[in-house]
Amino acid sequence: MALSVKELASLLSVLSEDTTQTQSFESLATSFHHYFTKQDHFKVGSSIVLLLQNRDLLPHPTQKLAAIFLLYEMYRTDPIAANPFATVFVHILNPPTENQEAGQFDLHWAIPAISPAERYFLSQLISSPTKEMFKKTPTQIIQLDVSSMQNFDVSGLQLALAERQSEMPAQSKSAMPCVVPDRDTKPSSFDHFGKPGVINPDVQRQTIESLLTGNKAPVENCMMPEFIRLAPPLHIAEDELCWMNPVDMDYSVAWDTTMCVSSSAGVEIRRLMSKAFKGALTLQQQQQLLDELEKDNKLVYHIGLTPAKLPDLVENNPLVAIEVLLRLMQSNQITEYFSVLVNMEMSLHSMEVVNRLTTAVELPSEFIHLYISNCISTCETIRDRYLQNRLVRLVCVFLQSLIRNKIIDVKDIFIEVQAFCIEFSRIREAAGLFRLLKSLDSADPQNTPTAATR
Amino acid sequence: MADNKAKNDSDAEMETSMPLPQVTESQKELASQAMSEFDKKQYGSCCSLMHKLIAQRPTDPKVAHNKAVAEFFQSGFLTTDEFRQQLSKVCQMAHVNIDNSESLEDVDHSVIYFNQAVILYHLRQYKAALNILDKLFQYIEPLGSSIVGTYRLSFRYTVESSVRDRKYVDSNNEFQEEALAKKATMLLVELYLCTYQPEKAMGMVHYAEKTVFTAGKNAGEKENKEDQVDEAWKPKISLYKTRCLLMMKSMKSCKREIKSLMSTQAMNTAVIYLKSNFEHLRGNHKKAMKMLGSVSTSDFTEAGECMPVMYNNNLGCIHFHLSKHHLGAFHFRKAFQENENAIKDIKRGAEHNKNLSGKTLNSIGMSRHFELLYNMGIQLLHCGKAMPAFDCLVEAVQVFRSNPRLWLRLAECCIMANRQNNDEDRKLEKRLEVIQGSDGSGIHRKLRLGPGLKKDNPSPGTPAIPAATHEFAALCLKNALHLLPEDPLTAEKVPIEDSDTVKITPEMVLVPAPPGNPLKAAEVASLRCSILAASAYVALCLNDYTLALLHAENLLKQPKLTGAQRYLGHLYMAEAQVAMDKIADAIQLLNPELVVDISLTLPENKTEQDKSERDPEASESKGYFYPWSPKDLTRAKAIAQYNLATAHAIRGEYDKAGQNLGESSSRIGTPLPAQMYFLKLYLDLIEGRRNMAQVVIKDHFGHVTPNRVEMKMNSKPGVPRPDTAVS
Repeated sequence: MALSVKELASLLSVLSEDTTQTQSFESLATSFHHYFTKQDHFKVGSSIVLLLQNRDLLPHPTQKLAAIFLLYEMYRTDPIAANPFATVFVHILNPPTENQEAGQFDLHWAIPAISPAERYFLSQLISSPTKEMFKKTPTQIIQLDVSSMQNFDVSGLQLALAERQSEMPAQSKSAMPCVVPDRDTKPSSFDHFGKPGVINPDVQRQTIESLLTGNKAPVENCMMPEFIRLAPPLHIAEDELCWMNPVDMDYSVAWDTTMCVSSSAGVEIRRLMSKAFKGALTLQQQQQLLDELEKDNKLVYHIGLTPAKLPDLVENNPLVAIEVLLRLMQSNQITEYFSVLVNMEMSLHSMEVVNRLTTAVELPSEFIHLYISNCISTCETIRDRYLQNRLVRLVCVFLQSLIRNKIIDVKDIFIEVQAFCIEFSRIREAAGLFRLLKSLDSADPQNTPTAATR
Repeated sequence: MADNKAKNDSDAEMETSMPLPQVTESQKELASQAMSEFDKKQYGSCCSLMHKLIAQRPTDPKVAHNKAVAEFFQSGFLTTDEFRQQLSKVCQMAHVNIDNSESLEDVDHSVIYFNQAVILYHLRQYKAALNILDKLFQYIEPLGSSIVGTYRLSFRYTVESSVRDRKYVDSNNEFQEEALAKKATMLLVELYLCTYQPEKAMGMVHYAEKTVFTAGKNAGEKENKEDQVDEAWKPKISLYKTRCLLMMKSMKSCKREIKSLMSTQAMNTAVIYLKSNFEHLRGNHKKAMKMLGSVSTSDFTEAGECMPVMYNNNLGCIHFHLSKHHLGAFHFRKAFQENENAIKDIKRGAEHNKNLSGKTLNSIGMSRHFELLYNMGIQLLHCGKAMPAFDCLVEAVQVFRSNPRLWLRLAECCIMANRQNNDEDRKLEKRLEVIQGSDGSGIHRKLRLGPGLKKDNPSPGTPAIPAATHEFAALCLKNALHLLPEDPLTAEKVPIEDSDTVKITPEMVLVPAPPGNPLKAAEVASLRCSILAASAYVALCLNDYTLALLHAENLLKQPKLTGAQRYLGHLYMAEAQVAMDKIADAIQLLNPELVVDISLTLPENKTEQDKSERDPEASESKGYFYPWSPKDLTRAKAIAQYNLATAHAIRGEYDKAGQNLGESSSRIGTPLPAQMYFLKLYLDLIEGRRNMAQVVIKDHFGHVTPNRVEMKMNSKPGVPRPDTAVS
């Protein structure tokens, strides 16, 4: 944001007392654009504003006028309300009412008032500029007698700016330049003796340089009211640090005690099982397998069966599957096996397994219901007519067996099964099942009226 | 030998799926001999037996496995790398994918998995070990519980010859199978504890107590023997229970458990440390310290842990809670050194071995480096040393990244690094920033007022690279918030009917905070408040006012706020509102009369403390926190009033601003914060009271200006204004 020393020199050359007195605004603009490009304009403008705020830094009226002109010139191509320094113009045209006693009331941030001629020029500039204006020199403008001339109306600009400003938060409008003039009331060096208030060009140049150039130049800064922002206290925790307790345990590797003692039966069984996953076993093999399982309850955990392999076993050797599942009933994995069984493709074998399981042990009723709805939906969705008929018959027989054996309560599945029977009423077994349902229904007075009316 | 070779060939053929060759009687004999040597801890002879056996059965994975085990024992557990290699070879032979615990299908392979889990445990890969054991447990569980009397049958059936031999194998095997189940259960509990899941650990202990360790009672003929075993396990179970209870912080049950432990094995180091831990948690720090001192600190425990590290670390913890932060830091540093030394010793020992991990299995995971860094970091933070604390914690967080509180601590380090404490504003160097200096001389003399204390220097680079900046703090706090369970305030809105159940469930959840104990619901709530307060603060520092407002609103909605947090919430909210041009709201919030409480703890805690105040020892427990200012209500009110003045000033209400500023400056305490001088100068200058400003400047910053103002003198008549002078 700050200017480089070279840029500052260029700016000051444009704004020098000589140049501003002799050259026309047009040529001032030309030399300014010679030094600065559009990208520089904002920082140059900010510097110009700071110079304007300090009476001693642009002491001569022509300089001041030229500086104001440059603020305009930089953004001439844009609408005037879009000029970032438009507020400066409004500020200059409507200076804060200064108190008479300057000592008590001294606005360091205000731009000193300008003469009527300058006012006239500025208001014309921002409302309706003419070409002749730019041909004049600042000196000519200052010497103009404007007492008879009418001021230009700038209220449009003021309104636009006021509107734009109202959209900005108050905080962004609260800043103040941080450079405060503090004239020495007493001479600070021998040179100054007897010359109070006299401009010293060297000191002036130095001051301008230190204000406008360098790292963190004051021109970049401003001052605004600031909150005291308290950092929060450190979090208070009762038990945060890591306390260390010795571990009184020795976790070491273990010896495999089953080395060379694994039974021949175990090995044989395993071999049989891996066969059983792939194809039907002979009756003899099946018997051998079941015998071994019979002998050792825990052997079932050693035969290499997992839930994922269950469907293969069911399809190939349903009898073995039933036996194995019965032995796994105590295992904590049995629910996994059940869920695999419920979700596997419906078939004669899977149905047989479920049927046998239902008669042998008490299965969770959700499991049976899930299986039944699975069967029913399989029947309904199957495309092959022949296969469908076959499956429907199977399901009907299965359901009849379940109902006759009182494994399921008809009430729980009544509606679903009834709908199923009606849908497949063309099949004899379905009609039979329907009749069975009806007979149970009439025997049970508590049934739903809708079912009774059918 | 020719015979063997033929067998080898056939073995190779069968290896794909065919079973192994039949076990011959001589092999069986060898195997049982090897096992008995192993049990007798004669690993040398065991190894040589295993060599013989493997020559006969080169494809038997179990033989290969046991050979590896025997050699590992023989080496004194120094050859961990080799053992792991052997283990993976065994896995290949047995067609087992050890990295995938899902592949565990056969209980026959359980020993392999168990050993893998043991190694992982010592390598401190707890999660991986836990995965294996969780799965393994499903298979082992039925074996452990009621195996007696059933498994025996299979052996009786299979081992037909040599009755005497069979009997040995038989009974021993059952015992061993069960021993494996027990070992696995123990390791599982340990792993649950290592991964800070005390409830699961406790569940497992209870379960094991009922099944695995009382197995013998079902078996009639072995009752005596089994009961003895059970008795032998009892103290260990009790130790586990105590550790679970300590971790869950259920002090009442813990007290009972410890009492029984102390009555039976009062000389056990582990027990004494647990008791000390218990007293420490209860706030009896002196007692805890005494307990620690009563143990003779031999250097290493059997499990390979370095006692001096633990001793010093725990002393550090105690001193931390006694608010003796520098003493605490001293002990942590000492623990750190001990840890470094211990590692160095081991490494030196390792050099003699060709192996990379020539340390014993137990000592591989011995280093407590990161736990110590964690403790040290928190301790240093409380010493007010933000940067060293940051360096410690930023390393620790790479290991304990699931700890929300640790992320908050990191953010606190960043906050402290940028603002040591709230009295910083009063320091001379801050006050000197009010006026930066002067330029020029004579008529051109200018004062440069400071731009303010706010520093808007965005950190170079990305905030993802850890540095003690507010940007990084914001990231940390985001992590911390994400690690907390969902805010019950926002979650509760959906089910209105069963609000009771909703309220109950979060109570049950423990939030992990490794390496510390998991957080209970109340701790989570208070942590959330602290995180929200810090988040709002950091967002303000980053000029993210929308987010700051959001966090502050969220903070004020929390059901249990400390006085200080409510106060801060109002301040933060007001500042964000001013920035977002809602000054009227902010002015209401900043009413100093609203500040009624700035205590740092919840009122409930206070009453508890008061209660325990009668207990002479309990008074130690309070005030281990870092001092925070404002310390008293008057100053807190004054700060709120100063901010009120600022809000008025921003709105252009300079009279009100001046009045509030004056009132607050008389109560805020001296030296005044730098911001007050700023505001005073601002108000004077903006209204053109240039001379008044000069008086303030000359009085407080006299070094920047030679110009004294006599209030009665008006400068106007004497000195012409520069512009008029020239024109």
